Formats: sequence, C-alpha cells, structure tokens
Amino acid sequence: MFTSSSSCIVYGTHLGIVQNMLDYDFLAWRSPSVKAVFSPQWWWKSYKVFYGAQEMMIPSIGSWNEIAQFDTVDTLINLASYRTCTAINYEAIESWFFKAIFTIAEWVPERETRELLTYTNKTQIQMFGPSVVGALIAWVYRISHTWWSLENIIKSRLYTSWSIGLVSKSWWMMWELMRVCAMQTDGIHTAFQVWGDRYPMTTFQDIIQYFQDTDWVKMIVLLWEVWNTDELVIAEMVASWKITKPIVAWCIWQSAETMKTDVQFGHAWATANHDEEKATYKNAFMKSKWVHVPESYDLLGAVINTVFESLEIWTPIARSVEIDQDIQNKLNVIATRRPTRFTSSISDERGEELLYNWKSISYHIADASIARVIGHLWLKRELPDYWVQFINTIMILLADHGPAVSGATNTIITARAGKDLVSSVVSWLLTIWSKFGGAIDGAASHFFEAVLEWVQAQDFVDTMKKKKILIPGIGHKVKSKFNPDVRCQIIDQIASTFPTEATKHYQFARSVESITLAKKANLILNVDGCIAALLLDLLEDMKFSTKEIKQYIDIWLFNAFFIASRTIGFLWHALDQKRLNEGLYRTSWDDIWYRE
Amino acid sequence: MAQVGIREYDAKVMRYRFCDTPYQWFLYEWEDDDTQEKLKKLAYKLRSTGIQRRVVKPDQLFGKRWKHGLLGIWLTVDECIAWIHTKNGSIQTIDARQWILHTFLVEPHIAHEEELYISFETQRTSDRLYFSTQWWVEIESVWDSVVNIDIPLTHQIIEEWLIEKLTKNLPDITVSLLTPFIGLLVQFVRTHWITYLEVNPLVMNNDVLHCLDMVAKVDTTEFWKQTKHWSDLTFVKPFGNVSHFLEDIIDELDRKSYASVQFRIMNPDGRIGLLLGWWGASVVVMDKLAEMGLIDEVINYGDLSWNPSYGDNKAYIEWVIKLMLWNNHQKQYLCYMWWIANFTKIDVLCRAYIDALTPYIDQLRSKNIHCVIRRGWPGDTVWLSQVQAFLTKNEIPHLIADGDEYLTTVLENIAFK
Repeated sequence: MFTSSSSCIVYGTHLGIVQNMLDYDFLAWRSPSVKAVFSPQWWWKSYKVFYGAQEMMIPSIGSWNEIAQFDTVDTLINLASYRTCTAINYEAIESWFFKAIFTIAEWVPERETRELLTYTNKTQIQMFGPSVVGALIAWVYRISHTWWSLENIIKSRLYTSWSIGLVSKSWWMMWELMRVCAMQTDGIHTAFQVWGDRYPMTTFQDIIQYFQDTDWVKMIVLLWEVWNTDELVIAEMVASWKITKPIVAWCIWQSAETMKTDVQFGHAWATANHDEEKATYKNAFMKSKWVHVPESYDLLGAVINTVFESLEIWTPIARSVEIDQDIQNKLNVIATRRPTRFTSSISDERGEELLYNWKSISYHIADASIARVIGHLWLKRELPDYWVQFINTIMILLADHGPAVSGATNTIITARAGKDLVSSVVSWLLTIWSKFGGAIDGAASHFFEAVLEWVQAQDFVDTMKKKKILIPGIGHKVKSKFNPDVRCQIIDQIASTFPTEATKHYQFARSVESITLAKKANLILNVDGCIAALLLDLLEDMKFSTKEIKQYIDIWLFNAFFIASRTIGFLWHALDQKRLNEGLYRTSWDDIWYRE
Repeated sequence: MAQVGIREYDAKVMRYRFCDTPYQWFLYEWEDDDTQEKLKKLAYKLRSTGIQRRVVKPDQLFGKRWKHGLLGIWLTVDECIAWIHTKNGSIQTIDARQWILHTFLVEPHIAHEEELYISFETQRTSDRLYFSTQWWVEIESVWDSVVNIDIPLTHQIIEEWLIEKLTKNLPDITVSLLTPFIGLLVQFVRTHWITYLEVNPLVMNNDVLHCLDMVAKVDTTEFWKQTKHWSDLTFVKPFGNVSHFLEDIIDELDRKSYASVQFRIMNPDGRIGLLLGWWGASVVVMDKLAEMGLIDEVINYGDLSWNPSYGDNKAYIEWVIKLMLWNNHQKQYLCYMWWIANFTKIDVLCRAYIDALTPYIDQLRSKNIHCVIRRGWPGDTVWLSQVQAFLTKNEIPHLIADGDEYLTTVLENIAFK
C-alpha cells in the first residue's frame, strides 16, 4: 500500500506535525513526504519548514481538486477535530485522490464511524482511525499528533526498515515495545497503534493481514487489551494457516480479574463483558493456536528474541542502540538549524553579478527591455515578445495624464509647499484607491470572477446594478463613444493581434462595454479596464493557476503597473514645479463653496 | 470516549417523551440533609396520579434487584413510602461491592402473565436486535435460544421486513403487536444514540406493551451533539463507585488542567503508592503487581500524563505521599512508573518531584518509605541523576531505572519482609 515515494496532504495547518514528519524523512533518507496542507481558510498561504537544514515552502490548498498537481499524493492525514473530521473524510473519499486516510481525532461519535464504515466498504480506500495517535511505516511515514522525540527514534532505530511488524492497542506501550524490539531483534518495519475507539475503521485483523502480505515484515508482535475478541480471530487465522509469519502476542490487564474494586483501567471502553474478552482467556487461547505467548509481560522480550533468532535473518549492522555517525550528523543538523527572518524570491545580490530571477544582469542588459525585466522580477517568467510589447505599451500609456488628475495635483501642491522630491511623490501614492489609480485591480477582480464562473455579460451588468456597484474599468469623465480614448484604441490594436481564444477576458470586457454604451455614451471600457482584462489574459497565457491569479489580484499586482508607470510622470511634475520655482499653492475663494 | 450506563428513570423518560406518551415514574433521590418532608411530597405526588399499586426499586446502575430482595411490588402509596424509608441509606452488598442506597424509582405496577425479552446492541455496521419468548428465567442461562436479527445501519425499519423476520419465531398475534413497537424502539435508539438497550421483561397488558425494566447505555462522545435529546440526562457513577474526597480534589485538578490527571483510591491501607503514566503502561504495572501477589497493597491507581504543569505534578505527588503517611505501615513503596515518553518537560517533573518530597523527608525516612522510579525519556539521564542525588543526600532508600531497562523489572525489588 505504501512505498518510499508515497506522499500525503495534511488537513489543517499543524506545522509542528508537518515538521516532525519532514525530520523523519530527512533521517530516513527519503524525499519530503508532505506535499501540502489543506486549509480552506488560508488557501493562499505557503509555510516555511525545514527539510534537514534546508528551508522549503509547503503550500496551502483550499480545494480537493488542487491535489491533482501533486503526482505522488496517495494519503490524507486528517487532523480535523472530532466535530468535523467525519465530514472531511467523506469529502476526501469522494475526491478519489487517496488510497489511505488516517483520522487522528479522538472522541469521534461511534455512530459517525459506523456510518462511515458502511460507506467505505464500497470503496478501495483504506481508512485508519479514528484516534490514530501514531503510526510508523519505515522509510515512508511517521505520523503522530504528538511530538516523537528524535532521541527515541534514534534509540529504537526507527529511521530505517527492519523486520518486525508491531501493532499495539496502547500508544505509550508501543514506544516501550519499539525499544524492546530494537534490543531483541533487528528492529521495526511498520508500527501501528490501533485505536482506543470501539469500532476502528481498520480492524486488528486487517493490520495483521497487511503484515502477512508485506514481504519485508518477517515477524509480528502485538500487544492488546481486555475487551472484544480480536485476538481469538487472529489465533484462528494462525491455526488455519492464513497467517504464516510468527506472531508474538500479549494481552494486558490480567490483574483486573483479581481485583475487588471496580476501578476502570486503561482505555475508557475497555471492560470485559464476557469471559472470552478477558485477558487470561485470550492469552491462553492464543497460546493454544500456536501464537507465541509468554508467561508474563516480563518475559515478552525474551520470547521475541527467541522467535526472531529462529528465523535466522541476516542483519547488516550490529543490533545495538549506538548511533552511527551519519545519523549523528543529521541530528546535529536538526539541532543547530535556525530559521531565516526574511524570504526573497526575486533577486540575489550575493554573488559576482546581481541576479534578477536567477538570471544575471548581463543577460538582462543584452535584451535591453525594461518590460522583460518586469516579467522576471514581478512574474518570475520569461515573457514572450508579444506580451513584452504589451507591457512596454502600457508603461508608456500610463506614464502621465497631465497635471489635472488628483495624484498629479497633490504632487504639485506638495512640491510647491517646499517639500522634498520623495515627500512629493509619496503624496500622490497616498491618493491611490478605488477612485484613482486603483481601478485596474477592481476591474481585474470582477472580470476574472465573471469569466471563471461563465457569467454572461448582460447578467454581469444586471448583477452589478442590483448590488449598486459601479463597474470598475467602465466609464470616463471626458472620453466617450464619440470622443474615444486613443490609449484604448492603441490597446485594442494590440489585442486584435492575439487569437480570440487567448483574450477571453478582453472579449468579455468588450461585451460589457457594448451593453453599457447602450445606456450612456461615456460608459466606455476605459484604459484601466482594457489593461486589467489583457493582463488577466497574459497571466492565463503564462499558465498561472486560478489560485495564483486571485492572489495577485489581492496583493495589487495590477495596480503595480499603474504605480510603476505613473511614478515616472509624477516625479517630473514635482521636479517641474521646483524647476519653475512655483510658489506655495492656495485655492482661490472663488473655487470654494462655503455652506452650512 | 465510552459507553456509559444511564439510570432506568432517564432511559424511560427519554423513551416515553419520544413516543409522546405520558409517564408516571417518579425518582426519589436522598440527600444528607433530607427530612421527612421530601417523602411526604413524594407521597402527595403518588396519590395525585390515582394509580393504586406501584413498584419501587433502587435506580443506581445495578441489576438483578429481584434476586437481591430489592424490588417492592404491588405496593400502596403508604407501603411505597415505608419501603423507601426502610431501604434509604442502607448499605447493600451487590457482587462483592458495597454502597449506600440513595436513589429509588417508583412506577405503576403492570399486571401481566407472559414476558418477552428484547435488547439492542450496536455492532460494527449494524444494530443487533435480540429477543426471546422465554420468561421467568435468567436470560444469560438460555442465551443460546435468544434470536438475533442484524439491522444494517443504512436500513430503515420496514414493517414487512421485520414481520418476516419475527414470524419465524413468534405467533401472529404477538408479531402484529410487536412490529410497530420494535420499529418505534429502533427509531428511539437511533435518534437518541443509545448504544445498548435491554428491556427485560417486556410485558403485555390489555394488548399494550410495557417496558417493565430498562437498562441503557449511551456513547459519551455524542454528548456535544445530543443537546436536544439529552438535555435532562444525568450521568451518575455506577453503584459501589462513590468517590473518596481526594478523588474529587484531583478530578477538579483534571478539569482545570490541559493534562490528564486521574486518581482512584483502591486500598487506603495499602503499602504501594503509585505515580503512573497513562493507559497501557499503567495496566502493565498493575499486572506485574498482581503477578507478585501485591495487588491488594496498591493504595491508588490513576495517571499523571500529557505534560502536566509543575503545580499539577506537585499537588498530585503530595496527595499520594499524604495517603501513604496516613496509614500505620512501616516500609512502603512510592513507585513512579512511566513508559518511554516523548514530550513531557523533564525539568518541570524533576523539580515537582523533589519539591513535593522535600517537606516530608523526615516522615518518609521515619516510615521507611522507599522510592522506586522507572522513567524513559529524552534526556532521562540528567533527570534521574538529579533525583538520585537528592534521595541519596536525604538517605531515602531508592531504586532507579532508565528507559533501557524493562518497564517492570525494577518492581521485582519490592519486598515487605
């Protein structure tokens, strides 16, 4: 079921658990087993974790179909709480991506588990849990919602694969038994802690059968408790030769039968309702069916050793708990690593030559295109010529729009007040919002959602009207159908050179314009709308995902083009005022309406 | 997460509310400062129903009340009150457990001739219905004759299906009465998430079926979902399981703590005080002590795990020490037994252990209390050497084992002679 290339999604942003799993991967010489965390609330984030000493980003995903991007994912570690984990399990099963799901939560209602069992009987998915406190599959996964100390992992040699399949009802005793197996045999291949719930989705018999079918496992050790009769079933499987690998077993809680008081021990459900569920009966029954059962827990290690030795398995290293140097080095790496304070993905100044997007300055200079540099720094892509031409064009078109616009006026007034160049430029930057300079992002957001959801242009206009939202990217104070904006015409000429199917956002925006123009002549698709629509087409053409485009809209990538370009013009408005030695500005009283 | 028993009164009230049937049961609960007033009020309520004859029995999560002489039948109101008055506060021994009777269920007497047995039990993917027409017998003795029907979880009870299953075993007239009754009972069990329900006996009176006795268990993990159905449900401790005042103190500690802090008195006059980790490992320790014939010497059971705070640790250890100092024995053992752990903070535990022992050092020495410790830990060497230095300096006899030694080996050194 699991291989060394298996990988998983962790439901919930439990970065401690993710880091534990990655540390095990590092020790066990396998590639990172966690590909992403599933978090509908934080779907746009990425998280910094370590693999050894190397930092890496684990992305967050918000929908099941995003898993398709990860080829090797076959497991879900469901860390949702007992209130929601069952609903998550149903969604995960219906996504069809997983072969196995581990449900960690405790206190899941028995009813929910039973209903899920009935449902999953029709699927091929292996469900583990609920209440999976931990599981270890050598070279594959270390799963746990509690911290597994590295010292224990090292001492029990769990970082590599040996011969024992271990299954224990008790999580804490599993640690004891892993140490015992490390001392009495060559060590553990797979260890499962089978769960405190009354109806675990994967039964004890399923686990034993898995061990029987796994070639690497040569011997099985199990530790069970009072209640239910799973051990009797296992014993019958041994007697009927369905299980041929030797099993060493012990059922704890024999003392309960000698006690006078009714103190509840162990797992909350663990009480014997019938004689067959009592520990003494089960130990005796298993022994009668050729399961190796010691006389007491104290002798369990000796019996494990005797059975293991009889298998004559060759082990490559001496059976000791001394740590080899390679592992010690890895432990030192983990102990001494330190997280970085900043992350930068666009440039690197450390080497001989400055790098933009991992390409040298010489490379960029050879091309001599600022638009292509924008593609590298902002989009981390090598843009094709037709998009370079477009970006170049919009940088020119947006560079200035005269002194009358709000931002320019603010710049001019600030410069004339005697402020320095930086302050004058900052004053225009602070003017940017939805009414000035911010319309490109607004237009992009609405056009993108509409096209994504296949909304028709008429429905889009009607919906915006019902919501009383002025459509960003539509309308101009001065320009109209009869006084067209040359900038828009230039952009339209560029768009006409692209295939129609590659400009669906632009086509949509034009469809919206044809509806709004029917109402009023100045409701044209303005330059902000044109640029927003074509930039969306650029991002799709460059294979950015829906999630990435949404993120770019949220972080104002589209407005960034406006800011970068317009700063060129406004810098000079400030300098122009200083050069012309213009005095302090004061608005004339004629321009002010004094009212109550 | 556990299936726990609920009172017969609560089970019947829930069922009759579900069936929208008026119920005539009364529960009498005795409290320490009770007076005759409460019994008078009960008598008044009983008389106001107009029902002449009643049954009264304790309702404290134990069965076989008829066998133990704890069932009053065909009683008038005055006889009921007198019966309760006599039994109230009396100590009864049931299955080697003793405790005081304090809660009584009073219900109408139902005359009948024949009895049936019905029970439901959850199975892995079905609910299993058991029934039997054998009566005036202990059902366990005729269990092989009990018929069982598995009702798959996805299966809604359909009368025709049930009739077909029942007809093989019962006469037609009984089937026609039983079928709707069982259908309703299954709905009740499933909507209220009863995991075990036994009606023994189920009787017929004037063609109406009555549950004379009812035993029910619920799944406590459903508690957060069952606010509507379980709003009046009271969880009580099983018979013979009344808490020691120390257990209440530590229960309170557990409620306030994020850690797991459990404590149960077993034998206050014992000579082995235990500080244990959780679940399986604690049971292994108990098994070992039972093997050594020392189970009756165990003063307490419980656990102190999931990284308890310094304060929780210290308080718990102090209480165990106090218990040991209260009895009159010379030579006792305070055993700190833990599995190979992963994340509990060593320094917190070490400080708490040493600080808890420090005020009692002279008394520990005078009573010859030995400290036995087995802890496996990341960094256990440092912790164990600190504790060893402390115990050696204060001349407290001790036995210490680390994680490389078998969990129970160190216990073999316990000897009282």
